[in-house]
Amino acid sequence: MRKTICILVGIMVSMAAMACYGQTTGKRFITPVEKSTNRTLLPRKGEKLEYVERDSLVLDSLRRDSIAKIYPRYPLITDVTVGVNFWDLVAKLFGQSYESYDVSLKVNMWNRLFPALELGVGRANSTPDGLNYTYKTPWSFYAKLGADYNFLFKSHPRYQFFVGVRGGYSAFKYSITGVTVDNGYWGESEKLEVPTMKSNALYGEVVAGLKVQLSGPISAGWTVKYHTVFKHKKNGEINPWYIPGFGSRESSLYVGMSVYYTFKTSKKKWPNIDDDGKLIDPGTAGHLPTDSISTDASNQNPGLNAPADGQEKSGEAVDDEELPLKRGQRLKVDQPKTGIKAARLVEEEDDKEK
Amino acid sequence: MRTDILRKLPLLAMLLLLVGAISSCGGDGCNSKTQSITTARLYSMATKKMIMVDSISVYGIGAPGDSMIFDNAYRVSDIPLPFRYTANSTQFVIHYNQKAISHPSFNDTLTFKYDLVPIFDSSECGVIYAFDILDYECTDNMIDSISVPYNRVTNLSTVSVLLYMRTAQ
Repeated sequence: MRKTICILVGIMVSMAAMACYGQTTGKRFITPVEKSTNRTLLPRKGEKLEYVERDSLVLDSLRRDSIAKIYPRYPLITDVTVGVNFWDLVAKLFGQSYESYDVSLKVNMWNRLFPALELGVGRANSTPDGLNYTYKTPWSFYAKLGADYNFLFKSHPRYQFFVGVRGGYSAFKYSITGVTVDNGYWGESEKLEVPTMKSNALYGEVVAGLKVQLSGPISAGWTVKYHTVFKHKKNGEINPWYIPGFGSRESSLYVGMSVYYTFKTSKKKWPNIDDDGKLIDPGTAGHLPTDSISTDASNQNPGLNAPADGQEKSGEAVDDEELPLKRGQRLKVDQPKTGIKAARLVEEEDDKEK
Repeated sequence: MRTDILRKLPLLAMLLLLVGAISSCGGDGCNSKTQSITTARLYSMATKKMIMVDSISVYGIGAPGDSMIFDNAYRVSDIPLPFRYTANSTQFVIHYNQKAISHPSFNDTLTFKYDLVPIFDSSECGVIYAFDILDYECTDNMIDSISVPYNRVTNLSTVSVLLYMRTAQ
């Protein structure tokens, strides 16, 4: 029954997270100019940003008749985040008799991949009601190594929904004291003490979570972890109940809540976009307006289009016959004030053209 | 995008607390016995099948107040034999209340020698004793033979001792 509830809750959490992510979908998308989404669309060293290959945009995207916002390409190392997991402080209010706290270090790679390292300590002191023992584990270290994948890589790094994996290891001691074993028929009551024993455990986790910016470099987030013990050292018939960093060996679910501080590593290199997806710093890699059919002049950002080889480089419209445009649509190459050429796909307006 | 996430944050926070509460909840309790008890099952030596015996009494030698495990019980097939914790051997007596064999000379005595092994496997069951049976013997008045297929007795064990009784065909 408990397992069923845990699975249902996990599904609900996943659905809520996916619904949040789904708000970003629903628009038509074009094929990016660069098929590899991790390559920065910057000119070669020493060259000015003038033209970028237009072919895939003009041919591929128009052929598919889909238009979308091009998301910024983040650099290899976008930022570094340090976090503190303090969920067990809250869990103790619900009666949890063990606690673990850890510091995490995450490196943001292309706003997609987040290698993570977690170092922490944990302890346990449990005297269950109605039972005959006290279980203790002193403060013990644990370490976890893994990586997360951010499904919101097209958005600003301040909002992240990620799924990841971790591998953890902990070496710890434990003891069981105050044991009383009763034998009703013989009227006997035997007291025994299990001496302190050493153990270690290797375990793995699948992690899912959210991270949201609170203010400036401060963020908060939570994670749900499904974990399992791969291997642990047994001491005869006295098995460890609590594993630092893992929690109770009998529970397959664990929760974390963290506060983060983000250190940006390369401000200038990665593009800075606002909530509408428009570039704030047009000196970096550019993108098309969100609606490339729009005739709004303010959307003339540095474009990703350049005339194909052999064509005029400035000021001339491209013949309709050369491009697989939809009926009534015309491709026009303009000369923006920045000196960088851009192409707009505009609807043919008979009156304006005339 | 930002507005959508902020709107959903209270729901996500509630889901988080719910998950946290569930994961912190206690378990369903101990699903097995909290004491290891050896159980002996009666079989017919002639047919090798399980039998039920009427008018049988069982007690441990030295039990406080001469307490009985069975007192002139009917239709007995399984006999619980709780081992002592303060010693490494325990003896039990089976007395037959049937008129023809009710004399104490027809009683059978079972003797078990064992080691006590503390076990901690589940936080909800706590620490329990398991028994590793080292040696066993019985008298042969009404019992033809005894068999112990598994020498470790835990709180999960069911039948640990087989008693083959002399019975008519």
